[in-house]
Amino acid sequence: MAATETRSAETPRSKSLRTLTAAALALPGIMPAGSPAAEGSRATLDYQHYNEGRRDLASREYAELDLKAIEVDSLALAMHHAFHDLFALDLHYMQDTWAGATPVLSLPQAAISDQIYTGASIPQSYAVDRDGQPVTVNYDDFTGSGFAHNRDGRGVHLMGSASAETRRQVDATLGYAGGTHTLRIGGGVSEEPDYHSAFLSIGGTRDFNSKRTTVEWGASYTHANIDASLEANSAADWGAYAARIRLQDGQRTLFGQRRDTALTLGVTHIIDKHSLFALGAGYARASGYLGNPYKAVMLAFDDSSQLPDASGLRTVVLRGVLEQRPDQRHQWTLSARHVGYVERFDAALHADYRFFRDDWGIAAHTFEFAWHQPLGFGFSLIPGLRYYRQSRAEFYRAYFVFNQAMPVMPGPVIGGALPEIDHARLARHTFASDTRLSDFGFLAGQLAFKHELARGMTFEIGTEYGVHAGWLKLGGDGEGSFADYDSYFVYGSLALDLAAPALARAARREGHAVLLPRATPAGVRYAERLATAGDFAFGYRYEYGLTGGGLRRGSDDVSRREARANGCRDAPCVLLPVDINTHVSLLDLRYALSSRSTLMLATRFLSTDLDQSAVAARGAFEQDSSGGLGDSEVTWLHGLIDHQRYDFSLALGFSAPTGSIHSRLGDSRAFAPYALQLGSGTWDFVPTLTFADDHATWGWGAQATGRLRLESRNEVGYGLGDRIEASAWLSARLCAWLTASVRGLLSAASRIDGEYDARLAPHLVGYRYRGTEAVPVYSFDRAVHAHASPLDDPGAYGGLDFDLGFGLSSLIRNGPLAGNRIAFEWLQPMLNHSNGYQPDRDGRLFLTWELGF
Amino acid sequence: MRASGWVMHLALCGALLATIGCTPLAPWERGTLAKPAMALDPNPAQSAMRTHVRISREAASGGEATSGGGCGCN
Repeated sequence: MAATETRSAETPRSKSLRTLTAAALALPGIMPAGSPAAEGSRATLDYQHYNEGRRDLASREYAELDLKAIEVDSLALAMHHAFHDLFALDLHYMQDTWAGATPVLSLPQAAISDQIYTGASIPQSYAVDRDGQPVTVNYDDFTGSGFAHNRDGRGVHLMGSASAETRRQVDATLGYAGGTHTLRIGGGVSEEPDYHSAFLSIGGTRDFNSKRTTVEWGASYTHANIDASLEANSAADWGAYAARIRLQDGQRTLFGQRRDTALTLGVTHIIDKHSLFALGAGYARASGYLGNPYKAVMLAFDDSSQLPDASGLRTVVLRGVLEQRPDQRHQWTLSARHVGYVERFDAALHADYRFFRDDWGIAAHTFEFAWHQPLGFGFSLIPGLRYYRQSRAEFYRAYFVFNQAMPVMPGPVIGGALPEIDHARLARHTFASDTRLSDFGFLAGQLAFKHELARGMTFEIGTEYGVHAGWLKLGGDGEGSFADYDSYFVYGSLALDLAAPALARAARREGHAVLLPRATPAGVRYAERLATAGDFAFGYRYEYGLTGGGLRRGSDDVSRREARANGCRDAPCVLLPVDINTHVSLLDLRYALSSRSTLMLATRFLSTDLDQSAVAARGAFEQDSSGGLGDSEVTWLHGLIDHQRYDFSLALGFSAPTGSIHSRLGDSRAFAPYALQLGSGTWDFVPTLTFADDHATWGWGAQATGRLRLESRNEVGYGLGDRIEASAWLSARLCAWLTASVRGLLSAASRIDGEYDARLAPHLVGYRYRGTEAVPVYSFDRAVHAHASPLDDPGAYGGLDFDLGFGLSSLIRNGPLAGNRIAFEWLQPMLNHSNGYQPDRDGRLFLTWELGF
Repeated sequence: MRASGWVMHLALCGALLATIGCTPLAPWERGTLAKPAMALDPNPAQSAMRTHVRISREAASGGEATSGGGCGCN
């Protein structure tokens, strides 16, 4: 009680101190955003979900085409640490997972009607009237003198679904601040299955006029290698990119390189004590392969020399081509930003404008406004508005019409292949139908809610809803409505002042640590009870699981031949797993209800990459990924015995099924293997008992924990098996701040119960006419989940494993980062007994970071 | 308006605004400017994440010296 009173009396002072320190350092003109040595040490965590609405596919529906609108889940972690007063290090990790369907190309709706009638696998032609306008034809209404038809100028997208893909980026920046100038250098890498880039940057600032004016400059260079599979675009002509395409892993793959150089110059100026503005200019040059390998364009050949039929119609021949962009791009940007304080409302108004122009013919204007309104008690409401407008690239069209017969390369055409286009006989050599290059406007409303929690934590949640539409382009000439869509963002952001624990302790003058000084290994959860009522703690745990190298069944290694023959239910396997790599980021917030009880909220964000080899084609691989929000937990941690040296605690947790169990294989829309699902899909009960005994130089502990499914099946028909783990560890204090540990972990998991329900798959049964428009009619049939790989067999999951762990743990006791705990552990598999054919486990890595407030 | 016109326009605005305040502003007069809401970008991490999604939807996003990789091909 005394401690609580002391803190409540001292907290305002420490808060004032922090506020003053941050204020002095954050002054515009003194430390512009991203400057070194600014704001001590801090960390931010951000999660964002982006969801796009459905496009107008004219006569067809997403459900009938088995499509899902695109979704993006992003996670970012950033840490800024200032040291020696002059230097600062910024570390940044970001990952984003994209899943869903996007447009591959666009074409006249009349061509879809024609395709539907002819039953062709891809659109091959459409009819035009005497004026060259597309028409839809009702072939069922043959009158003897012609077909009923009407003009139909609508465009429509052809959509393509790809398997979910995750991009990961790591970058670092080292900064130096000396007197009136700062300097920063940085670099990083970005990895995704088909795009690998590395970048370097340098920049700095120089203050003038008693730090009232700051000039900022920057330069960057990015190099990217592209190796994109073209299997999804296999029908398209390759055009000028033919020389870039080779076989890789049994798939036709486009290889390219790209270089981007950018320069920026800006000035920030404080107008008066209530307002400031910033002006910026930038130039960027891109060269190399600048196309999008997954986009194609439809070339329409309208040979006006052909004789019209009895109805006066001509046939236009279609051919899809990979989009062809110029191999250079020069871009210029100008920006102006103004921030003003509105004293009457104690609010800040942000007004930003950005102009963009490039030599592809695109000009764009962006206007953004945000109003930061404090509501009292640390709460703020931030409404905003964004308007963006761009004109199209010179080489963009929804589709390209050539008034000539399709020019084809001389020579025989093999099998059923389409003839290759002779591009030398085309009037243009650059084409794109990617709607990001079209004429459009985008209008979005934004709303954010921010709360500055006590002790250096700031939490923000926000959303944006926007409409992308041709009619929103001020000045007219916008793209047709087929390219319109709406979209929304939701995000959560947590910022932490890493020095807050040290400041809080200094303010309390009591020196007690929020985190209990236990030395539990990094992989041990549910033992993170806090010391004193009212304490907060934040934890981040990264787990990297590696699986692959070989296959086993029971305790024996098995050959791929045996796994192929017996690993799938009814027929030999088509795929065999090679590698499964799982990345899990687990975030938790803890609050001490009393010195014995702590409440913990936790959620996870995960991504999984699966490589499987195709049995039928030597060297061919299939890559699948999933990523996004996983399951979330609420746990009550309670100390059963309150003793200074040892701790015996009980944890009762409930896991909510917030993780998706609807991950699909990209283009087939069949369920992904169970291992790729993000959550269990069931409510789970997670009880844990932990005992820890810490001596001056050594300690030991033991834990038993279970994950028991409260529902036997989830909504798609299966239930993960129960999991029980028992572990024991020994720890030795190597020095005052570092502890080493060794741990044995025995875990048992039962098989998956049930299996994926048969899903309803669309099946084309015929057509009906709506006016002259042919509308496809689908029935939905039950499609049983196919066992293509041992990972599709629910009986193969689970088993009995024994792992040996080696770890290091450090609770920082002094300095500006006092109160932070970091820990590392590697779990090495020693014994495995799998229930079915499974890939070998290679090990698990845990990195944890905890921060008590 | 042509690009060169915009350059002239912004340069003129900048020159005018720069003349507004050239006298030093004492530290104790900068309290309002130090509020987090007065930062040019109050949440840069969120801005970076959103920009990465916009890059695959808008032709004019990106192209700045704050590097970041990624195809943006979706």
